Amino acid sequence: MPAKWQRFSVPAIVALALAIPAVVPNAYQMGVITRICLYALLALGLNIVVGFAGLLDLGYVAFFGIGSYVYAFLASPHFGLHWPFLLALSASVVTTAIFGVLIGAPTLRLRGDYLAIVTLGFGEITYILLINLDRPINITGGPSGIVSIDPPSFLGITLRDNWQYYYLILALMGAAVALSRRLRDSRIGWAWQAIREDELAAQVMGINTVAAKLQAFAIGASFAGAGGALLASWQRSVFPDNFLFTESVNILAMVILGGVGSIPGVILGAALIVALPEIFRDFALYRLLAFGLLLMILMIFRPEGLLSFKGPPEEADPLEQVTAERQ
Amino acid sequence: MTMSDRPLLEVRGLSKDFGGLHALQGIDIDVHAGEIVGIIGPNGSGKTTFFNVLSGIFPASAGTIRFAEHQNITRLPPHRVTRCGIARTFQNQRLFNQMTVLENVCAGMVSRTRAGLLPIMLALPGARAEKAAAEQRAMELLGVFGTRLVPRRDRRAASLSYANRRRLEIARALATGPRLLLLDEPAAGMNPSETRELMSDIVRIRDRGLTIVLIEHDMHLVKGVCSRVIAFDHGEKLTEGTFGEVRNHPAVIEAYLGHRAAVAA
Repeated sequence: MPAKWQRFSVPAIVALALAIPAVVPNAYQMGVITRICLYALLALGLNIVVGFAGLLDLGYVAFFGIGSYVYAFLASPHFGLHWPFLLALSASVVTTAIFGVLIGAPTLRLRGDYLAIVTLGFGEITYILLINLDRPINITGGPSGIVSIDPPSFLGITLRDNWQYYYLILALMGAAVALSRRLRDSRIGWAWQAIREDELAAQVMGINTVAAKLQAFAIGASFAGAGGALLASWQRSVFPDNFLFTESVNILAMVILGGVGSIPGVILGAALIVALPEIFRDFALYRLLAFGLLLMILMIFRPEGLLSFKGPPEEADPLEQVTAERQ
Repeated sequence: MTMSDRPLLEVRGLSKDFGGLHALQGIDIDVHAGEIVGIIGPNGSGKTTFFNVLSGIFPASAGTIRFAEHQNITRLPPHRVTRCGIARTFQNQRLFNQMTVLENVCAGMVSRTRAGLLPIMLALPGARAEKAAAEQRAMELLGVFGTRLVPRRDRRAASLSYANRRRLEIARALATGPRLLLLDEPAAGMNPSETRELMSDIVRIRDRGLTIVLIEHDMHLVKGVCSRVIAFDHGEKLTEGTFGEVRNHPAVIEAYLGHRAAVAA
């Protein structure tokens, strides 16, 4: 995109996003759009781990779950704690970042498929803990979850409608976009991408791959922690079934569909994966079938994703041809 | 060019075994600051293994490596070795293919920059200034190769020609701020005019204050730039000296051409 277009595109997109509640007719559709933003936030977090650092994490939903439950613990009658929203949200973010490091540390030596299997295991362990930690002491509320969670409130205003949650979640998604961009184009982002491309070469270029990977796990997890807190406060309840393995797959599909590593691509992926099943709701029986078929077609014709950072396959470099002819 | 009495790199009794295979056996090598040293030898003679042990990829089975003020870098992991001031390129190019040319060089600068997560996420002035300085330095390093890489700064490394990828590997290695640069077959796959250009590039890089050890099969290049040549065979150092001395050494001729050729010579 030419630079002069780019200058206008960001304010234009922001204005469009802010105007959405004014033009969307009903609360159901507002709810779908809000969910797109929530999942975009999650997908942006997974994109840091999978897209930037190239670490295939199949248990990402665990962090979403941990974030949700931390918020639920701190802002509900369950433990009788009613922390202010921003404080409980921060606690979710910090806790999930710590869990990101804890889960990341034992997997540092693993690559590719092996890493995927171990992270898958962590995801399952988290789910099983959530569902079973109601005995002997009731911590998570077991299968019936935690209910009556406090809604967010700032300066005496308590959020109630979907459009209000939309602005809240949009703000955090926007922050996630800004953070993703800053990190990608920083020394930490350079290190992540170098590890993704060639881990040995990255080490030989002086990159501490252990530290860089742990940073990726922590930041990626913390985005999911924020998403979890938002889900808990919006839904006003959390259940273990919100954090099934299929959710990890859904979020990964968003990252891959849109284009691994591409920030606009990941948001587009979230929009499609959340919206398509809603659009096909009338054919509820065939919904997953149609959805699966669509994904397969896409992967056949555009395996690099819709808006990949790789872009279309490059033709021969015109500059290189000139040089070759001269020699 | 000043040559201090104490060598920049001092390798003593360096050995590397892979099971029963002795890939390196008791290598002793001194490299003085400002030298361009060439390592030659038939395929499988341990040249690349020597680089891999030097750069910390393989731990040494025995022996010591002393580098500059660092008493013993033998046990350090690769990223720590690089931070001590040893950088390298790879025989089978290992660029960060999906990153741009400029980003590849910037990735080499990660260990020379400091900004932490929070300053970067908050875009604090210190982090921004450091990044701008890193990118400026990366541009300057691309400029080492004249106009070969500079106009291609925003292209992905994978799209570069073979020779330009080799140049980019060198620029990326220079970004780590080394005192010693190890080049593993830098001219492999280059045509004669590209090799000539590479030779002047190597000398120019030495004149920037670096010391260079290179592995090369192109004898024209070795003869042209190396002040000293070391010959390897079967994981051992056969001999060392000027290009002429090593080239005509009977053991070297035997290693390359066999026993009878050596007798005939």
